Order: sequence, then structure tokens, then C-alpha cells
Amino acid sequence: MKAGFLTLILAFAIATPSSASVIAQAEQDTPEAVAKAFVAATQTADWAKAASFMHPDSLAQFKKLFEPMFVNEKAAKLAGELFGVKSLAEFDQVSGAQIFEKLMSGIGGMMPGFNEVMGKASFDIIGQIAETPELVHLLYRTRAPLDDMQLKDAADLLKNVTITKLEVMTLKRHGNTWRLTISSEVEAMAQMFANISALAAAAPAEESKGAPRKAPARPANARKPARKP
Amino acid sequence: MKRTFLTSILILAALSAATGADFASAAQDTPESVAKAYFAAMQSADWAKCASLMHHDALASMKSTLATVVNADKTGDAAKTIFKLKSVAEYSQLGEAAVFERLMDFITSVAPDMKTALAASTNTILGRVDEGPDLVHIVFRSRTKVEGEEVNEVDLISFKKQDSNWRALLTSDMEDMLNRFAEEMTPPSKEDEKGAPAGAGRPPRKP
Repeated sequence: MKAGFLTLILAFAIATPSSASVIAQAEQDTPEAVAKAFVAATQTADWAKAASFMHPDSLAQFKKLFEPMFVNEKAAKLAGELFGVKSLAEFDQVSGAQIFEKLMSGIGGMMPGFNEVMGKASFDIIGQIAETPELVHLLYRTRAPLDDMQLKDAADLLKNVTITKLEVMTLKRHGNTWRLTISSEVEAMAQMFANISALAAAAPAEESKGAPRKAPARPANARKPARKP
Repeated sequence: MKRTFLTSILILAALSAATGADFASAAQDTPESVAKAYFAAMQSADWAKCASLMHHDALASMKSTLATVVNADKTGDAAKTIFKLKSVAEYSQLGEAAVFERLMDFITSVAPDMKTALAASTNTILGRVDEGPDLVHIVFRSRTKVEGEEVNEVDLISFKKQDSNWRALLTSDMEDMLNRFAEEMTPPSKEDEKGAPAGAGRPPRKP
């Protein structure tokens, strides 16, 4: 996995200590409280909880990104393994929240040290801008030390490396609370993941044995579909 | 050029409301007015104007990142093709603003559709967040079309005081784009071949 990919995930991380009461209150709370509760959930790799703070529209959009994988037989097999389904029909029965949860759990399992990095990442909200009464953008900075990431054959490569990013998180009103929308970067990440899986599945056997590592690893071709929160 | 590379540029496109008068007054104006002037310059592909509205730190960082491309290219083609230099050695003498201008000229020459897309795109400023007396973040909504597909996203651009003027820092998209560009133009290192992530070892961005 490339750091760019990791960065997209780490953008969710938060340092602010959370408590069960904060999470419980978040549903009736401010956009900041919901955002903090979401990131706190990601820090403990509680992806079901994290998904509960996402807007249903975004979760549906997130799920839709993976549908094309079922067009290709091999990609469908990969998607099936990833999401625990055997067909597009079964996939259709799984909720967007479950898709999100399974994908993020899968990433955590594939990347040694990922959960530790998430746990140590900081998340500082700098301010917010209300575009409309129903739509708020939070400006935040995340810092993630990558020391715990274990790369094959290069264990110390990320020692003392810290990613710092300034990002925008958008929340949309949902009933009497706020829920996160899927960011264009996460959309791109999901699309990239789907593309890579499809490419890997479609590649001839000899390519999968000796293909240049860079080809599937570059996120530069990831589609960036329109985002309309 | 890669698609996200193009997208990264496009999100910098401007509101058509900005005028020539904005350019003149931008130096003494607010971060918002400098942002509008910057977006307008991007929209009209006026790279010299863009460079004049960018912070020295941003231009210096860009030149440093691209130096890895130029220096790694033993054929000297990158220096000649991208920066119109006679040799790699000349790169260090090239001004930081000129590096930006020539890079953007190169990009638009290899991706001519970008100018059309830039001209048709809009950026609407949604608001600002002051982080400190010398650092302001402008949040904006960018709408454009890339390869026929609508891209509608919220992004930010930071402005830092340079003397008494507000000047633009590199957006994270622009920074990512530059790093990717450098990565693609640079031969893979031994670390890369071992599976090093892109950007590993690069200093963190601290606006």
C-alpha cells in the first residue's frame, strides 16, 4: 500500500480523548461532536461505530463504488472475499455501513501497524464554515506518526516519518443530528481500491507473477467522481 | 498526464467575477480578494500572475521538489523539455517563480484540454478560518468537468502573510500532484522497489 492511500485513511484520525458519553451525546450534538465521535471510533478500529456517524446517502454512494467489481468474474471473486458475499445479488443485500465496516476492517488486517498508527494520529479542528443551514465544513489538521507501520523488507523506512495534512470534512444534517459525508478523497480511495482489485483480477497469470509493482500501486488514475453533498 | 494530476490543477480554477482591478489591489487586500485574483489567474492560465500571488515558501518548496526530477534525469531531457534549459546545471539558477511558470506552461502544452476546462470551471469561496494572525484558510467549492465528468468538491487553500501581503500556499492537492509528478518522473530507488510508500521520507506539510 502506498502512503497516499494510507494518508487518506489517516485523515480520519483524532487525538482528542473520547468517552462513551461523548459518543452517546453525539447524535444530538454539534458537527464538531459528531466528527470527534467518528474519529474516536476510527482510532479504536470500531468501524461499525464509525459507519454509524456517516450519512446514509454517503454510505449508499460508497457502496455503489464497488458495484462495477461484479462485472468481471475475477474481480467479483475478490469483491466477494472482501465483503463476504458470493454474488452481486448478495452484495445488494448488504448495507452501505456493512460495506464500509468490512472494507476498513480488511485494510486494518492487511496493513500491519495500521491500527496503531490510527490510534496515535491526532485530529485538531481549526474551525468551521456553514455553507447552508444543512451543510457544514470542518477544517481540521491531522498528524500521524508512521513509526508503527511495518513495510515488508523495509521495517525502518517509516521511522520518524509523520504525515501532516490540513483537510476539510463535510457534515450534512440528518434529522436532528449531523452525519459525515464521504469526502472526495475517500471516494477516490474506494474507487482506486475497486480499480486495483479489478485490474489485478483481470490481469493474465504471468503478469500477476512478474508485473511491475508500480502499475497497480499508483493512485494517480483513481477516478474522482462528482461529489454533491 | 494523469487524470488526478489534471484534477488537481482544475480545482484551483477561479470565479469569473474577479477582474483586472482585483489583481492590482490584491496586494493590499484580504485573503479572499487574493484568492479570487489567484483563481482568476489560474482560470486564464496566467501563470506569471499566479506566481506573483504565491508565497515564497510555496514556490521554494515547489522548486525543491522538482529539483529531484531534474537532477535524477541524467539525460537532461527534463531540464530541456519542462524548463526549457540547456543543461541540468542551469536549474539551480532558475528563479522560483519561473520554475512554476515553466512547469505550468509544460503541463498545458501536453494537456491542452486543461486550459478549456480551467476557463469553464468555477470556484466559489464559502468562507475563511483564521488560524493565526499570519495564517488564513479559505474554503471553497470547486466545480469543473474532467473528461466529461463533473467534479464538485469542497477544498481549501491557505494564505500566509508575506510582509504586509497575503500570499497563497500550495494546496494539498497541488502538493500531492507535485510529489506524484516527481515520483513518476524519477527512476525508482532501491527503497521504492522494496515497497516504500509514495512520499515516505518527505518532510510533512505544515501550513
